[in-house]
Amino acid sequence: MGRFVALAFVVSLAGCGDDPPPVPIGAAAVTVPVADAVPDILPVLQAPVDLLPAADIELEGFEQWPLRFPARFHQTLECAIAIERGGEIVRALDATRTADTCEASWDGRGDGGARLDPGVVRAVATLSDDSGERARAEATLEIVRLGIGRIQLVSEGRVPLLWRKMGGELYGYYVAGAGMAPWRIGPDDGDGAAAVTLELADGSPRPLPEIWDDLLSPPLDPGAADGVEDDVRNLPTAFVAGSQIEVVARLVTGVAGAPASGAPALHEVRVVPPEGTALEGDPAFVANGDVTVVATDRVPAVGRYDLELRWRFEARAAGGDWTPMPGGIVTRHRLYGLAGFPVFDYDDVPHRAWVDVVDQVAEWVEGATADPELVAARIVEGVYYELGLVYDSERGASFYSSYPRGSWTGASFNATRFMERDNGSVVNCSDAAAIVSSFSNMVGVDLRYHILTHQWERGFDLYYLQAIGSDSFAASPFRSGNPAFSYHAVTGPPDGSFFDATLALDGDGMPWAAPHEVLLAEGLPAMDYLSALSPEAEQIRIQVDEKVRVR
Amino acid sequence: MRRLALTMAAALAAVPFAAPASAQVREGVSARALLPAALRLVDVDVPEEPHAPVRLYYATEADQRASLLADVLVGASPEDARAAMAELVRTTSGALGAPAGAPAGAVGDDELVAFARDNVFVALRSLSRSHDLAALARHASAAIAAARPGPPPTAASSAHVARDPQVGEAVPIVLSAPALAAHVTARGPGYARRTPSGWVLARTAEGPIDLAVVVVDELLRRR
Repeated sequence: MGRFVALAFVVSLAGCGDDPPPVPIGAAAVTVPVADAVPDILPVLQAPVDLLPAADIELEGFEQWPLRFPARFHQTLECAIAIERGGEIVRALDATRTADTCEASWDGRGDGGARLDPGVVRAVATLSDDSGERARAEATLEIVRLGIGRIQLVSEGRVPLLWRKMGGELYGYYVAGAGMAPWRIGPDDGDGAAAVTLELADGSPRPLPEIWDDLLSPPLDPGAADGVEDDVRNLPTAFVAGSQIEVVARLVTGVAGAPASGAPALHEVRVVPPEGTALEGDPAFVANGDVTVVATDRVPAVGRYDLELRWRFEARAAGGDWTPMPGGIVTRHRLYGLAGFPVFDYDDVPHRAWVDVVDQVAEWVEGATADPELVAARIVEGVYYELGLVYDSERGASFYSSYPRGSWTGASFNATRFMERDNGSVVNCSDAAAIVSSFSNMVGVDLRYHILTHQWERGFDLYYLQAIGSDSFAASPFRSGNPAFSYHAVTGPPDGSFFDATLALDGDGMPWAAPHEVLLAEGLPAMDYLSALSPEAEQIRIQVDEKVRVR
Repeated sequence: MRRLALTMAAALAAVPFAAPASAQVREGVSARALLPAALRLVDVDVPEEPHAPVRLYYATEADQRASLLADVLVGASPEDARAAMAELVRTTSGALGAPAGAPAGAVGDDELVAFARDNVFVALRSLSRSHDLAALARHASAAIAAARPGPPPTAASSAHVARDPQVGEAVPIVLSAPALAAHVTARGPGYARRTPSGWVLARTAEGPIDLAVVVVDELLRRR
């Protein structure tokens, strides 16, 4: 008996003729003293002390709801646990007995295997023998339905992205602004009336969207106001390197056919910040409320980063300890790091960061740096070596760029056609300068194009050079053998240095003769560049300092 | 070496293609008649810049994609066409020769032939190196010669939307004149984009939006 008294949390004795007194939600226990068989062991069932009071069985990774009732009883007694709702047993569980527990695991389903609707159920544990029930304990459980309907990535450094070929149409620009939530789920028009944010009409969980990796077009929805899928999407986003990102998750509940159900009502539920984030503000799970976490690492450099966020939850009865819920929600996000905001001379669309260009530059830089000049250098190398471009050795004509009549200012670059290679892979210096500068401008590197002309002659002589697409140096980039340019276009930042993907200079200090050493202009001082390019360096005029107009 | 090599280009730039005494002004030239029917017109790029040629994309039956580009400018006068020719020469960093068999005054080579006839400038580029550009240039020159004389229209096109789109919405853009192709740009809190059924205006925020449109009609005239 002394041991029995020590178990002070036992709230009543069965068989005394009175109803048990009110018990705290989530825990109740009743004991039935053994009257005869083994008088020295009084059977005791105790309300679980580590009870998980609420759970969502649809969370990814949820397997079982653990139900462990501390017990003390004789070997001859049978231990049983059942789930009741409204006084009816909806699921009889296979309980097991250990030395000091009666326990079972529940998958959250009824006897027929169907998921139980959200709401309160009672887990009832009993000890019994041939003479009947000898002890009983109960626990109040709450079935909830938790989810995330929208994730917004907030940062002062977020950069709008442009898909350039929506639905496969050239000039089919689509801009996802910095205010657009890139990740969201929800019912579409054709989903059926019972569908809700978290579930399809048949009650199955709505699949979470994979990262949208089409670099040309956003997902389409002909029924949407702008033709772009706005119910379920997971679009990439871009940020200036060094940005800190706030992740704002919109918390939602509801099951198919009952959109208002599933919210925690009896117990408290809170969000556990995903690994790699820190909570900002209140973590309480409130239906249609937001929870905010901040990524602990800033966007490191220019690159492509895939982020996985594992959202978990904890629950507690009033005044109790927080208990982790089994399972969680895993959301995946693609982020691009840029050197800065796009830097164009024009602000109209399509002067934005193009997704396919950003992705290409991210691949080239691979997170190695966010330094603008180093990024520009990598772009020069990428354009020169990796795009399969070849200099127009017949004549040096432009295929993708143009100038207003009679002027070198106001250059235009048809980046759309270039990205498709619709005009082929042959380019000249104006094209290469436009490619390098516009790619740079899109990822936040301030490169402008410059025009080099002889001060009084029409053209200037050249030293040996290795034109883009060639694997050897030549005295002339032209098949005709003409060792001269009528003009040349390069790019450079405001400091006056040059970046050039049209050609590699002979960098061995004697560019007029073999042997040759490849020298790509990647921040080369202007005079160094000109001295390696032409014996008439002193007569070359540098004009125009502006960015190309992009289409 | 350089001075000699650039002699022709320099001459072209300095004295841009003196107009023959018989030069006329054509209303335009049909995009369908410009080149032989075996070449299908598959796409058109309309430049925003004034005086810039329209770029036509042609493909043969065997082509998976366009293999021939034709830059065409229907100018107000023969001087416009010659200026376009000079512009091509000016922005070519090497030298352009005189292609055999091409129309009189043409410049280029096996892969690029450009010429001006009357008030029309044409530059043909073979992307596949499989076209007889001189013959195609002669065909184009004949098409120009057969075109109806008369000044091209000068009325500018315009574009409007039937109703102002809501933020996040896209609505069709209506052009004031029939077009072979058009290019629309929007300035303000929105942008224009091309769709299979035409251009649409997408609004991104409240505020006035200005539409600018350049239209090219069937006779390759900018309007």
